[in-house]
Amino acid sequence: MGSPGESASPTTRERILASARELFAQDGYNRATVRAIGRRSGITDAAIYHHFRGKRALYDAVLEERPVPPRGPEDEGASRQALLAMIISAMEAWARQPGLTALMFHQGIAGDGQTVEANVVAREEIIAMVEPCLQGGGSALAAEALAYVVSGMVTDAILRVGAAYPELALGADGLRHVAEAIDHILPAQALPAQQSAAG
Amino acid sequence: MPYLYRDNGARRAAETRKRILDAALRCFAAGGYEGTSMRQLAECCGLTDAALYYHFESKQALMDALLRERWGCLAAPRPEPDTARRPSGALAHLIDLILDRWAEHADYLRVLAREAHTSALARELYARIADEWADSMTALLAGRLHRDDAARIARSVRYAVVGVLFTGLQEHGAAFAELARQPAFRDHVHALVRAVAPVERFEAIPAAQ
Repeated sequence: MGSPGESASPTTRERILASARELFAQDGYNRATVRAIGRRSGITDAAIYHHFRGKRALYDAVLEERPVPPRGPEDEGASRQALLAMIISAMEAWARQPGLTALMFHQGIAGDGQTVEANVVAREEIIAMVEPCLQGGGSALAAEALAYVVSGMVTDAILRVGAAYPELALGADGLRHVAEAIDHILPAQALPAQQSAAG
Repeated sequence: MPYLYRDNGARRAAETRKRILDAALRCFAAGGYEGTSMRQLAECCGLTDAALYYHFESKQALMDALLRERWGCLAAPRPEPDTARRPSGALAHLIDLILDRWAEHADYLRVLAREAHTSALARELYARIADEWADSMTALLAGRLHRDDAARIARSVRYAVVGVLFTGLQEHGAAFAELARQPAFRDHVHALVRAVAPVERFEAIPAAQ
């Protein structure tokens, strides 16, 4: 027997992970079992334990391979279109594995440390992505507010329809709501001169 | 006399039921549904297993009763339309009321969010609560802004607020209720809301003098 690292055929490992991802998403972390993951993937428990120490290691590997949004453009300036496109591409990246995104929300609420950390990273990624597009005083606050709007949209949709959430968050209304929020946030801080004129 | 006894019995039963639901709220919020047994719940309320099962036939029945009977604690407040207040002030007032609800009912929110993964009832109740809050916010702003503007601002605020709430519940867990009472946190939420709701830009209807 070689070490798991050497003998891990990527297809077997990937099959196990795909089943784990599906089962965790469907039943939640607590209800999912290694045995059920084995049945789903058609791989014996022994073979699963050869690749992963147990359920926790499976979950951590699933978390590790979560979809990550593309990096934003290096230097974009305050462009509404660029901002909207970046946010949508991030939401689309998460929506490629909607069950996992929903699972990460619920595991985060359950207080799972690794998951909470991953969710914090996801929010920071959004802030880092949008902040260069927002200029002037208050851009850090504006970026944070926009990140909360995005996470709120995804959360709201997950709480309503679970893993089917992209239908809402990335549906026509959802996309319009993102654009609206950008319109609300953008001019207020990108064009500070207008504010004093209005006041 | 028999009636008096019966009333006392009914009152005691109602009190016990309330005690069970209070304990279940705490236990489910902390340990989740899977992590909480009927035996633990019975111990929490100082009851025997049999007494607990007398009130709720199963853990699922207890969870459903808890979700159904307590969701009203999060019903949206309907602040009196205050014509003297500018929309930004009215919105800030509503945000304060929302923060008070978070502080008071953080356990219910955690249970609801946890259960929504597997419970259609929890999802339905969340949608009802979220829609009520959005309606309340729109109604509050509609007196001063054009109806469409009020609705779109209320939407942005609602998403931002949902984002802050559930991020906070994840990162702070049981300590979130305390956080929602802290002035620094509340000020920050107000600042975030102002960033997504530039009401002065939309103010079309002149303030009543």
